[in-house]
Parts: sequence; structure tokens; C-alpha cells
Amino acid sequence: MTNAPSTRWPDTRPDARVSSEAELAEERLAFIDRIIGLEEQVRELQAASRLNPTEAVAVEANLAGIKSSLTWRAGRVVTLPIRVLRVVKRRVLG
Amino acid sequence: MSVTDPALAARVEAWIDSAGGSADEVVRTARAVLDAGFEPASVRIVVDDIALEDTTDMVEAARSLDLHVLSARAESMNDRLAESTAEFLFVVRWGVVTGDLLPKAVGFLDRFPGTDVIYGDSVTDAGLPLLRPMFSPIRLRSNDYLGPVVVARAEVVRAIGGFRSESRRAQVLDLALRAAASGRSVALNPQVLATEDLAPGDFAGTSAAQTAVVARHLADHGVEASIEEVEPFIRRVHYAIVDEPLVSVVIPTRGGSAKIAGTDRVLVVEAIRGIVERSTYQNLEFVVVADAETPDEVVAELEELCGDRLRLVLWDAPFNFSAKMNRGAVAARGEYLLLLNDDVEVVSDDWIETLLGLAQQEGVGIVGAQLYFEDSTVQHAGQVYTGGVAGHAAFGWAGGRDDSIRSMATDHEVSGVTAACAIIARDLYFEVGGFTLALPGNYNDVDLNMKVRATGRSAVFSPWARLYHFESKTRDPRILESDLATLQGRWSRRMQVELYSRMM
Repeated sequence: MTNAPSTRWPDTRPDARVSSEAELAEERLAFIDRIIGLEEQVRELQAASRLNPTEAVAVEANLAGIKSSLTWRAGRVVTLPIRVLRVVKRRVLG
Repeated sequence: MSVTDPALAARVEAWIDSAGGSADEVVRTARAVLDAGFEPASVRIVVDDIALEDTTDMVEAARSLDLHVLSARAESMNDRLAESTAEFLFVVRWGVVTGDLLPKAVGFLDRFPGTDVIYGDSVTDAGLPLLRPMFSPIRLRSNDYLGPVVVARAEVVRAIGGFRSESRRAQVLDLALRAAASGRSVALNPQVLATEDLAPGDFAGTSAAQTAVVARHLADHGVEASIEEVEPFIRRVHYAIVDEPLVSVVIPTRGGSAKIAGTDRVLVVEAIRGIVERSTYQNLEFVVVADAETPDEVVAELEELCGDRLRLVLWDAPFNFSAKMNRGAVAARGEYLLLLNDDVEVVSDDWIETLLGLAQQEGVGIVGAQLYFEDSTVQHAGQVYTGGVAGHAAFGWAGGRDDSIRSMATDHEVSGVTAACAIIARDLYFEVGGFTLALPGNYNDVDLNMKVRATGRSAVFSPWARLYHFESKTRDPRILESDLATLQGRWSRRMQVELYSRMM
């Protein structure tokens, strides 16, 4: 047995339905968001830093922390042969 | 004690504030400053000879190190500022500076010439980090969190009028507030600049002096407010509401019920009942975006509760939180939108005034509240963004717990606030395109916060607006890969390191 959803209240409250003007306003919101979103995606892909001075120094410190970690250094040792082979391949094959 | 880099030493001058410290402590601070590479001729111990305390020991201490004494009178400080040839003025307020203070501070200012005033992190004697937030002007009104070392370009201090006699004992706070208000850049240098003791007590009326400085700052900028001292050095600013604007409470719902504290309750009805019965702010309308499946009796109860303040809006499409909120925003007539989940219960009666007062401040874009789980542990005290993902600050903290800069007792800037309860100007909501439809379930509020912040406005959290949020602690935290990809596609590089709620 299934319970059919009640649709009574929308029938008695026609003012609750969305007008065409409201639909247009919703579309406009979505359009603005889409433009902002695309602009931000482009900025994410640009080389220029998006960071303020505090953020830049914090990110650099974070990166330095990662690079001085045991995990990072162990990874560098493990991947050393692969990196050497890549360099050799690039030099031999041009 | 030696000057290892004369060229660098020639560019700097240090003023050591002796207020509240013993002669021994000041000598310790001064020795560290000299060890950091300052010329002795460029180091001054600031002694407050206006205060009633005996300054003989302090003057003797300065003489023992062949250092100059500088009166804390504003005229004396301004005279010294005028004759100094230093490029950077270091104000050391307490603690012991690190040996590499000069390269860290001057290096930062040289690298970022647009930065005018800086402060930094510190550690306790035991080595525990005391991490300070990115510059937060709203927080600064409630707490001078700038720490033991503040460095300013001398030309900037002169340009904003130097030191003011009425700001005695709170000159650094006054300087930072005026610098920021005049469009100068105040920035955190996120490096450890000093070692300090935790929780210094109030000394020589410093807390009262800070309160007076904040009151003057607010008055100078036409902000009507009263200031309540929560504890020494911690203030709550009660902002007066300007023009009593209509606030539209936008609530999406499907009229569901849940068992709360052992009792079945219809969530949206009880949420709105709480607001109607408890909130002291009256100029409200309720925009309820209800699924077609919402039971008739729920709608009837809402009509009875809200009367002509109810705007019921039908949602008859598949679930999409963002689209539902946008529909509510379009239907709303208020100057401000109070975005609210239906599973909340008001705790503090003046929560709307608290949020609205902050939202009306210049530069503030969106304001959020402190949310509690049903068991009264903290669910939300602002969002933290790190590694390209978002979480809640102070998540799961028990009541009374706080960090070293009293974040749970001060209004302050955050990376973002949850849309479970947030207020935003309707115009701003439309300017940034509301909630993105690309994130129908998760992270839509993170995206909204980032869009608001990208306009140059801030997200602010207030611990004084409190609500229960009956979202389960055990809610499935899994996030769709597509949601994460959408969010990170827009904001990843700006969400790598959390710089507001660093101790939470």
C-alpha cells in the first residue's frame, strides 16, 4: 500500500505557486551564479597568485612543512629511480 | 647582544611597553630585543609616568642596559616619532622576541610593500603555539588579539596622526583600528615572532582603556553601539539596529517530524513557534518554501502561528536545497534574508538583533550563529576551510571550552558560516547569484560564503546568537565527488590554509 502525496494545500493556496516573474528572477540568480562560477574557475587556472600576503606566507610554510616531513623525504627516496629514468629518457630521446 | 646586520638595524626602532610588567620582565624583553639585532640607541623603554605606579625600577632597568626611556605621554611618543629616522617601528608589548624577528618582520614588509601594519604568531614558554587570525576588524573591537609584537611603517603612523593622548594604555589597538579605518593594510605575518606567557591579567586600567578606544572608534565612524565588558580585555559590542529593516526568515521544509528530547515534534512548526514566542526582534516575515507533500495540518499551524507574516511558497520539484532557498529569496520582501533550517530552536532571544547588528556593519557580508547539538555540545562556530574542503570550527566542543584568543566569546571573522542559520542582505544575495544550483545538497553554503568574500566583504560569526540545531552528529558525512570537484574548481586555491579559526 502506498500513501499518495497530498497536494491539497497547494490547491487551496494558489498564491504559493511560483509566478512567471518569480521564475525569471530565479533564472537570473542562476545565471549570475553561473557567470561568477566560470570566472572563478578561470582564475583558479591562472598562474597569478590569488592569495593575500598572509595567505601566501602561510601556504609557503605549509608546503615547506610537507617537504620537510619524513613522508615526503621517504617518497623522494622511493621515487628516485623513476625520476632518474625520466631524466635519462628525456635527454636520450630529446 | 650584537648588531649582526647594521643596514637592517638602521631601518628599525623598538619601543618596549613596560606597562604591567616588572622591571625584571622588562629587562628580559629588552635583552631579547637587543639580541635580535636592534641598535641599543634605537631601543626605548616606554614608561608610563602619568600612572600612579612607581616607575623608579623601570627607569633603573633601562639605565642598566644603556637604553633610553620614553614617556608614555602621546606628545613624547609623537616627538620621538617625528625625530626618528627608522623605517619601521616595532612595539614590543610583552614576552620575549625571537632571535630572527628582524628578518621575519622586515622581510615580510619588504616583500609586501602594500602592507602597513603587521602582527604575528607566538608560542608559550612551554612551546605551545598561539596562532592569531588573519586581520579581523570586527574581532579587534572585541579583543585586542594582536599579540606581543606589532610593527608599523613609521611613515604610516605619522600619516594617520601619530599617537593620541586619549588612547593612553591602548595605543596599539587605537593605531590598528585607525590604520584599518583609513584604508591602510593591517596583516598577520603567520610566523612566530615571540614567546609569551598565557593570559596576562589586567594591568593599570588597560582593559578599560581599550574599551574607551573602541567606543571612540565606533563613534568616529557613526556606529551606534554599547559595549559590555565580558571579562578583562574581552568586550561584547551591542550594535544598535539601523532603521528596523524587515527581515525575511527563509525556511525550506517538507513538513517533517522528528523525536527531540523524547518528544515528537513537527520541525518547521516548532522552529517558527520558537521564533514567534521568543525573538525580541519583531519586524519579520516568514518565507516557508514547502514541498507539495507538506501535510495540510502543518500548513494550517504555520498560518495560525504567523498570520499575515507568512509567505508560503510551493516547491514541487526534486530535492535541491539551493534552488529552494533561491525560490524563498525571490519571494522575500525583506531587506535582509535570514537563511534558516527547519530543525532549529532559538536559545538567545536577541539572536536576530545580534546577527542583524553585525550584518549592518561596513564590510560585513554574511553573519552566522553559534549552533548546538541536542546534547549542548557545539555543532558550529564558523566554518574552517583547509586542503580544499570545509568543516566546522569547535565541532563537538563542550560548553565553556575556548581557545587562547577567546573565540567563543567574541564576534569574529571566519572563513564562512553555515546556512543552517545565517543573515545576509537581500541585495548582496542577488549580487552573488544566491546559492549555486551546481551544488544541490552539500557545500552550497561554502560556495555562497566564498562568493561573498570574493566581493571584499567578510563572513562573521557571533557566539552571542545561539540556537540548537537538531542535525544528527552522526549524519552521513560523505560528500559526492562531483560536489567536491565543483567547489574546488571554483575556490581550491583559496581554501588551502585556514587563517581565521586557527586554534579551533
